[in-house]
This record gives sequence, structure tokens and C-alpha cells, in this order.
Amino acid sequence: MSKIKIDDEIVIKVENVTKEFTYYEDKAYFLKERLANLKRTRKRKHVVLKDISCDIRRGETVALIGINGSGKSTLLKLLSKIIYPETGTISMNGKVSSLLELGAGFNTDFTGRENIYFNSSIYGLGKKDVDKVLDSIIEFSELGEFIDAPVRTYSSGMYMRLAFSIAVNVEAEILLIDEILAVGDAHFQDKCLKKMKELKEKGITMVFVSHSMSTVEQFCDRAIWLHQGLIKMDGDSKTVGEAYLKEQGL
Amino acid sequence: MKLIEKFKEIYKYRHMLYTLVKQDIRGRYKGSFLGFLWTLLNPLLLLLVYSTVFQIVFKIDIPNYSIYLFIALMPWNYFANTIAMGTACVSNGGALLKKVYFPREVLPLATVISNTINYFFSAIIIFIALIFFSPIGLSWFALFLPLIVLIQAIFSLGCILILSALNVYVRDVQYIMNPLMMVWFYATPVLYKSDMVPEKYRFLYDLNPMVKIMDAYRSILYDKTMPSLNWLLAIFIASMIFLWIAYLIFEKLQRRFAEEV
Repeated sequence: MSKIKIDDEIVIKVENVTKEFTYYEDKAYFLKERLANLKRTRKRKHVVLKDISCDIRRGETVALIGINGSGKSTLLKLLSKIIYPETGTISMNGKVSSLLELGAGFNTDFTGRENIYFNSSIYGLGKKDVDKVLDSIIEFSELGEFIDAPVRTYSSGMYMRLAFSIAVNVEAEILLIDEILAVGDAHFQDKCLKKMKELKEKGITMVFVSHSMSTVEQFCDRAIWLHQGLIKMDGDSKTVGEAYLKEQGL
Repeated sequence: MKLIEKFKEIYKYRHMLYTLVKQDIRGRYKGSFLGFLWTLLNPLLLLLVYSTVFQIVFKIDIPNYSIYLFIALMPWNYFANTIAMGTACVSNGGALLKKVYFPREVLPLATVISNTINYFFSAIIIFIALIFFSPIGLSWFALFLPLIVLIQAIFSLGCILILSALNVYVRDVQYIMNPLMMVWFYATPVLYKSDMVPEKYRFLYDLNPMVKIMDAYRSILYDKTMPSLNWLLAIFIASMIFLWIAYLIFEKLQRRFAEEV
């Protein structure tokens, strides 16, 4: 959908992106409150990302690292087009599948199976397309018979397992993942990593947020270290990871 | 974003649209014919109340008043439901909006489509009533029904694009719409004939696009005559322009949806 024609190599192009959030001390959702608070409502602006630019090439596996509040998740949300930047442009070249902080927008009253169909339909898969991958999604999620239980009855681990299984099975060219590996037991984490390696070999571009430096170093080609809304370091995952750990005093 | 690109994008999300519509209709009928009858309970009760009051108390001079009323009450019900559901469709879609990208227009569009399908189901009941429970019967002019429904759907879509986007920022919109729809109901010829409105108010009265739409339903089903094609064309063009403006407003406001819901 981008207006700029990007060359074949670069699939994600972030140019001079600034994102700020406006906080209201007490947010008035209703007109009455808004009128009553006309003078009192104080806005506070918080700049989350300051003039960020970076290019990501096809097939690259990039980790976003940084302390809490450094803007990693915001950048990921911007890439997935859920939020828009105040200034700057983002161009994505390819079909994007994203898995953002705990959740995939499931309708919790529907069963896991129904949510697979619904969620995949958002990624452009029709019923027939889903039928083809349904078994591999269910198998990967290890939900067994719970696949036909309403999602509201799921534990957070089950929820994430299903969300991850869908996200990696919709055949996207770009995968955006936010701290997925924080949830799920060691066995499932391991399985996720294996799957991601498989996708990496297929040439799928991946951007993900992680706090586990060992994962970053062994799995990613590149790491981008965000600090207070700026790119502090961008380069080889090992070098950046080590520098980051050093700064953390570890 | 160019309009053509938007159409292409929405086409790419047709599977999502289809699933949303299916979910909505299934949720409404709970998968049974009895479920469908339940959705008719509310308009049928209203029909009973209005036709009793207007025939017995007000002694309205319209032959076959119950069916006369029914023909307009169902499309009105369709319109009012679309507005009510549509106004809340984006603000209720919070979880989805925050987690996945999709063209946000899909939500209002799905609301209009599922309500339109619902109206076509209820139109079957209208046909049955016309044929078996009234001396009126059905004529070939009934074939104009889809055209009138289409115009109404375009107009409704324009309305809810604006309302749903505003409701994200100011939650009162959905509450203001309740009384407003009641006023609109009386400003539309559902309970009465549009001819009953005095000439000197007609100019103002005809500004309400629902007036000519209701007249059209009545002419094809009740009077069994040709609907006023000039008027329909005029409303069609006006609705398309309105839809385009509504789309621009929605497009402008949708950028912050995920932050505001």
C-alpha cells in the first residue's frame, strides 16, 4: 500500500519515525466530563520514539532489545500498522503476520477452532486455505481436545500457544513477534524456536522483541538496541547483545 | 490512500468480512429458525401496539393499516439496528483493533452487510403477509426491492462510518443516538403517509433521505406502482457523495483508533 517503490532487497523501511503518546491526567471519555474538565484536563506528551530510521532486508532476523519503556513494542506496533507515527514513514513490502503482547484478538466466546478460522481470515486466508493448514495449527498448538472449547476457558499458556501456531502458519513473508517466548513452558519455547529457525531458513523476515540475550545471540543475525526512544546501537547480534549486557552491569 | 487502493485492500480482506458477517448472523439466530423468529418478536410487538393505537384510538384512514405499517416498519427496524450496532462496532472491537492490522472500514461494512441480509430474511415474512394475510398480494414491482435496499445500505454505511469513528473519541455518541433515532423515526413516514405532511413543511421534510426511501418501499409493495425513479436516483447520488465524505472523515479519525479504544 506504500506509495514509495522500495527496492527488492529492503522489506521494511523505517524513515525518520517519531511517535508520541498523549496522556490525559484523567481521560474524559464522555462529553459531560470533557465540558466539566475543560480547563482542568492536563495533557502530557511522551515521546516514545525519536526520529528513528532503519532498513531491514529480506530474510533478516532482527531482535529489538532494550530496557522496559525504550520503545520496542511501540516500534513493533508501528510496523504492524496498528498505530501510526506522528511524523516519518514506514513501508512494508510483503505480507505481515504479527503477534503482539499477549493476544491475537481472539473472540473469547468462540472455540479455538473457530478462532483459527477467524484469525486466519484476517490474514487473508479463506476457509479452504485454512482447512489445509488447520491440522498443522492444531497439532503445533498441542491443545488437543481443548481446540473445541471456548477460548475464555484457556490458560494464558494455551492462549499464546494457539496464537503463535496461527501466526507462524499463515504463510506471511514478514513476522513480527513481541516477547512470545516469555510465556509457555520450556518445551513449548524450544518448539517455537525450532519453528522460527525453520521459517528463517525459508527466508522469512523476522523482527522480534526479546529479553533473552542468549536467544538473541544464537538466533538473530542482527540486533537493534533501543534506548529512550533512540537507536543506541545497531549491528551484529553478538556485538550489540554483549554491549547491552555490559551496560546493564551483567 | 487512494480510493481504488482501499477497494483493493478491502477485497483482500474479504475472508475476514465474510467471517465477521457469518459470526454476526449466527450469533443473532443462534443457529435456528426459532432464533430467527425471536429477532422478529420486537418489530412484531411494535406492529401490534402501533396498529392498535393508530386504528382504534387515532382512527387513521389508511386501508389495511397493519400491513401498510409493516412494510415500512421492517426497513426502519433495519435502519435503526444498523445505526445502533454500527455506532458501537469500532469501540466494541477493541481487542481486535489493538492486536491485528486490518482495514478498519471492515467493521462498519460487516455491520451493514449482516443487517442487510437480516432484512432480506424478514422481507420473506413481509411477502408472506402480503400474499396470505392481506388482500394486497404481490406485484412485479417488488423486484425493485433490492435497489431500494441498496440505496438504504449505502446511506446507512455513510452514517455509521461517521458515528462509529466519533464514538471512539466521545462515547456519548451511542447514547445520543437513542433519542435521536426516536425523533428520526417520527420524521420518517413509517406510522403515517408522507402526503399527510403539510405542504409548507415539505421542503424541510424531504431533506430526510429516509422519507423517499420509505415512500419507495410503500409504492412497490403497498400501492404496487413504479417507485419514483427520479427521487431514487437523486438519493442514490446524494448517498454516494455522503458516503465518500464519511469515508474521508473515518480515514482521518481511524489513525488513533488503537490508542483510543
